[in-house]
Amino acid sequence: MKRATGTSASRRRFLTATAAAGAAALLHPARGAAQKITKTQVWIQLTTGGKPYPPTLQEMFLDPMFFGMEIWPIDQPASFAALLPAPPAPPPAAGVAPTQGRGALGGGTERDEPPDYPWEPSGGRPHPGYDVLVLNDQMDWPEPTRKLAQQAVEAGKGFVLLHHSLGDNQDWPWWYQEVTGGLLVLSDRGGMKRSTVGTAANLEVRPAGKHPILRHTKPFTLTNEETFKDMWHSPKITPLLQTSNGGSDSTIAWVGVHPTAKVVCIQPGTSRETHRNLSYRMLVRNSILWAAGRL
Amino acid sequence: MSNWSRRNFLGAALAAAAASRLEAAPARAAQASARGPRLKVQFTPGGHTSPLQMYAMFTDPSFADVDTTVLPHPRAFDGIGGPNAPDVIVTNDWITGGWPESDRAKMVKHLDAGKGVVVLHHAVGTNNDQWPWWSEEAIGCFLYNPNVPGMKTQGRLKQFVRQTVTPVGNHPIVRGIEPFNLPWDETFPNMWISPKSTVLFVSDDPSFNNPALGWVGPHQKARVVCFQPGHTRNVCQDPNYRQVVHNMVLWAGGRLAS
Repeated sequence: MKRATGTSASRRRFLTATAAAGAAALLHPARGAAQKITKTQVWIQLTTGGKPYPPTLQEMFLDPMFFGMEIWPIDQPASFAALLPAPPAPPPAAGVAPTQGRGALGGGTERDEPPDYPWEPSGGRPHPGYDVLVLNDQMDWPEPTRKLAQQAVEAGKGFVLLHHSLGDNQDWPWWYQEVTGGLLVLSDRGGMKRSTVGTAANLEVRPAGKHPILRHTKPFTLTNEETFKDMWHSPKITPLLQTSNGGSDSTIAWVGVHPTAKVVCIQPGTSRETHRNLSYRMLVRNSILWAAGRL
Repeated sequence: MSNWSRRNFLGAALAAAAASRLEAAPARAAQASARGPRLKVQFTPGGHTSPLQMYAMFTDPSFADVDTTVLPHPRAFDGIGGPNAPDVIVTNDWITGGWPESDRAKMVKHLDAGKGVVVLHHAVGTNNDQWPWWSEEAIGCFLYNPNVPGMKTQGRLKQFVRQTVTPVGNHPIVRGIEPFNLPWDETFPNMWISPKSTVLFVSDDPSFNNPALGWVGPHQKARVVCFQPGHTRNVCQDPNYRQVVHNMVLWAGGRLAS
């Protein structure tokens, strides 16, 4: 019996051949031209420090919905240097074979790396470079850190600020006036009144507007959350989420104000319940993707 | 047996082993919680990348008997002596330049109060040759000190070792733990371990000058314990690794009888 065209078997063969061709194109994207490495994952630096929080924050990022993201915690004291393009590596000196280990300590490194390990902080391989900085620290950054942050902002990198980090850099107006568009004011300063912090609040949250970050976002409820009231807000922010809880400012998530960097600020994010809330996780995921230019 | 059926068999065997561990973990946690309120544990990383799995370890069901807060630097030890002071501080920070004086004073207060410290991976190098008292009298190790003969000239990093970890002696931390394989970790083969330390675990990796991987530090009042592994995501999600860290936390908090 003659086999009909378009059977399952031939469709499988066609799909296999198409997939193989696609894979080959991905593996050899520039045959005949200069080879260029294309990152497929979004690389994220997650930095906390100075304020306590539950470990469910990091647990959240192991949720499969963050598939496709390489998320590396590095807590304060942390450098932001890997947000910037790495300077070209110097040519290897003749006769120097061993790889250098941790710079602070000197010494050599013996290596036997698992084949699927994406990158290794201590191993001397060039850093792939972070696309997005997710913050939940609360401190006044030292001057070298500010300089790197400013360069990353001006280079158009992505920033997602969670909860505590809305109190970062009280004494650096450029950061909150020109970048984030909001400040949790920790003490009266410069005409700004101290913000207040509420605890164990239940927040009915609703999306504001039609931003890509809010795609598929419906109203949801957060429990046992910390609220901020009377934060300083720039009139230029784009609200993303609002609440009618009286102990909180009405706008609790927004897009920042810098013209080149992609900045998202999310006020909730302190309780285990919030970290495990699927709507919250989707909000954080979408914010990272948007900040990385992937939405 | 085809490849596919071998994979199915291995998958089922691994799942069964994992399930038996998961069943045992809440039982252990329930036993410990019956002894009193949950231990207050502070996890302090900082200054170096750590995998997400290191933090998520503290949300593992086997850690249900401890209440963990993450508090990285700066001002990480400000709560010591206060009403919500931690019972046990678990460090994985990498502050080779040394903690500031205010942090050192707080930590001494914590130790003098007889509380617990668990030092993981990166943190065996924290303070290092900047605060000799910490390295020699509290945690009992140097990751690097050019004044110790041999430490200046040999490799101090080995990535990534697949080693067998074997318990030593009859300390409460090692009771019930069988030798186990630990996959793909960064090791420090050339550390100096104080002879006043009590070794708990050794490695079979041949490159170690001193095979000690885990030990009780020499501090006389506090319960200080160190465990060198903990660099990769593979290790930090390994059930054996988590069991060792959990035992160390319980012992440091006075919840495992000596």
